[in-house]
Amino acid sequence: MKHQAFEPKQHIQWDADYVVIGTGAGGAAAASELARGGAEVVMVEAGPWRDPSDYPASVYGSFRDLFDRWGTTVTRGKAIWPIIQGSCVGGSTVINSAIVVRTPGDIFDQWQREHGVGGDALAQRVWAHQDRIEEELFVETTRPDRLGRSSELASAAAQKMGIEGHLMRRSVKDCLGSAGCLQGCRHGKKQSTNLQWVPEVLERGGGILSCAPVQRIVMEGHRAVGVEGRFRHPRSRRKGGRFTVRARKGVLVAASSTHTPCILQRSGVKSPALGYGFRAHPGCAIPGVYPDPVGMDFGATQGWASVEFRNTPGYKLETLNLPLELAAVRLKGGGSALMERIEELPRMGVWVAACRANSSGRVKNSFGGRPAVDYIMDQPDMHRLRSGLKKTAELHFEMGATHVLPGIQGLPYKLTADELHRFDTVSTSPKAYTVIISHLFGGAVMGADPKTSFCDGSGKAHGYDGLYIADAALLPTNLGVNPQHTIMAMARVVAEDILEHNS
Amino acid sequence: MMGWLTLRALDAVIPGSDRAPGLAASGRGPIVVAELRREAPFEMVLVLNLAVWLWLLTPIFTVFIPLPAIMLPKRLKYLHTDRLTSTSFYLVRQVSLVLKQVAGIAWGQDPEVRAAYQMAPYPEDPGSWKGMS
Repeated sequence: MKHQAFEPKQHIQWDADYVVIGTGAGGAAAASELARGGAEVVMVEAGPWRDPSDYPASVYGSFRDLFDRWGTTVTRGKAIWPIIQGSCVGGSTVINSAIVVRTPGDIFDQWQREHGVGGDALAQRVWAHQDRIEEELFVETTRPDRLGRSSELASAAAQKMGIEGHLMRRSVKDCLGSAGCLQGCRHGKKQSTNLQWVPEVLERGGGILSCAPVQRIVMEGHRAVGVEGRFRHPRSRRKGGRFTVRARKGVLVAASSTHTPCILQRSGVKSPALGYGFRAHPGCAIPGVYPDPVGMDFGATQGWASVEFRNTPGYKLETLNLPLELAAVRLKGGGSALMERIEELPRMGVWVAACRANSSGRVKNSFGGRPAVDYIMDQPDMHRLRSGLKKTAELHFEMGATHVLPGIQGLPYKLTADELHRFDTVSTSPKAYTVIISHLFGGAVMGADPKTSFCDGSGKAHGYDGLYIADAALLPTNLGVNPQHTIMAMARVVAEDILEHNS
Repeated sequence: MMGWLTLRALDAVIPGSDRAPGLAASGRGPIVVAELRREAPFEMVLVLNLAVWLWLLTPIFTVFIPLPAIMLPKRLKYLHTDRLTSTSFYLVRQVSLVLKQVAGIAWGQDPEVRAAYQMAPYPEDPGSWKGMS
């Protein structure tokens, strides 16, 4: 078992069959598949490796210890929206709600139709991997006694309104309902990749460099032969010694939809499609205030969802138990007026509408090698988001909420049931909404045409040898469902094809 | 100086209520501000500083009094903070959101505050990692 964390001075030099950049849903899934196939794999992760006993308890600690640059990455454009990503061994699987949704069949048809990859053959392979992944990660439906009142209310509201709704399936083993997914689950119940597949790769003879952001992929002509960079201290952020990992057979890039394109650009890799096709599921939260306590501090962080409106008009609904700190920030204003609003917190349930946005953006390198994400939702997408928020409010009122807090500039702070129609006329300017960007896709997308895609359907970069994409960056469309399961399965497909090709 | 000003601005965002103490009374503010200024990314500290100056110098536009925010009486200071953080000027609202975010995460981890909302106190954040030396 080989692990090298921050090294202050020495130049660390390793070699392996394959180097995998990133240890999140894609990177760890691909690395474990390669290791099971007998390959020697070294994983390189920008963040530190934390076990549940190292996880922070507070939200402040979570931002500091688990989030990519304290959550400061934002979109550039008409509106500034935060992009939420993990930066640690396990990547975003450490901080997300571990939601597992199988890739919908229509996605493979869409990929085939629009990008020349996918179709039924890929669907069968992805679903077969998803079967295995669900066993490996102990996926189970959220137990009713771990739902929490907010998800119970949402579930009942959907039933009353005749809307499809379901309890989330999650890779959480024996969830305690502590509503602490954002802080990484200190109870060790969430099956993030740092607890599952990364240790497996090491047990199979692989290695990992943590606190090791890759500066560039080493290229020899059009062949990727390794990676290099400098260690970075997790707290002080000071730079340490250099590291170089030589790859005998290939380099897999799985550093997320924001970092993967930037690493490739810094490495001098050329493609007209590189950085383009960035997509997301931008989401807005609507708190509903009830006559009785709801209590967001108990229950699965996200226990219920609906995909009834996934295709038309194009959004999904879900519950979200927010920690006290973040719920307080979501409320309007400051000073004694904010304190009065905070008084309602114990009676709030927060539900989210996330838009299946067709808008796409671009990722490029910025100051200090950081990703700059040019992204804004167009008007049809903004209308989708607005209608999703209205539906969320309707669900709240169905369950007896006295009012909702829309958080949209131009609407009053509180809206009652007889004011629902005001959603129909409120501005759809992106600046009017408090949006969080999660579920990232694209940036180095797959497709048949090298002019419009970066890699082929097996993740291999067009025009390059030994260079592969194995994360959400290769997904050419968004999914309309939580993407972790698709990212993992697609990474497994990529690794499987690499093994077959190189055997 | 900047640390002191930052604390005054954060205190004004979450001043406390009958139920729960505010940031000033909680004692978490100075710890969080010091750590944040030491360890947070440059751009976060920069925007936080900008938010503090914005809060300090803009009462003339919010409560129409030509004084820095720290010299306002409590009622006006809170009114100024409320109006600033909910202004319709997008960039100003976004910048002051950082002030709210820092105030919120510092305040919400205080054991007294959590007790006031019937929540268990957080254990200490270990801040550790594998291979830490």
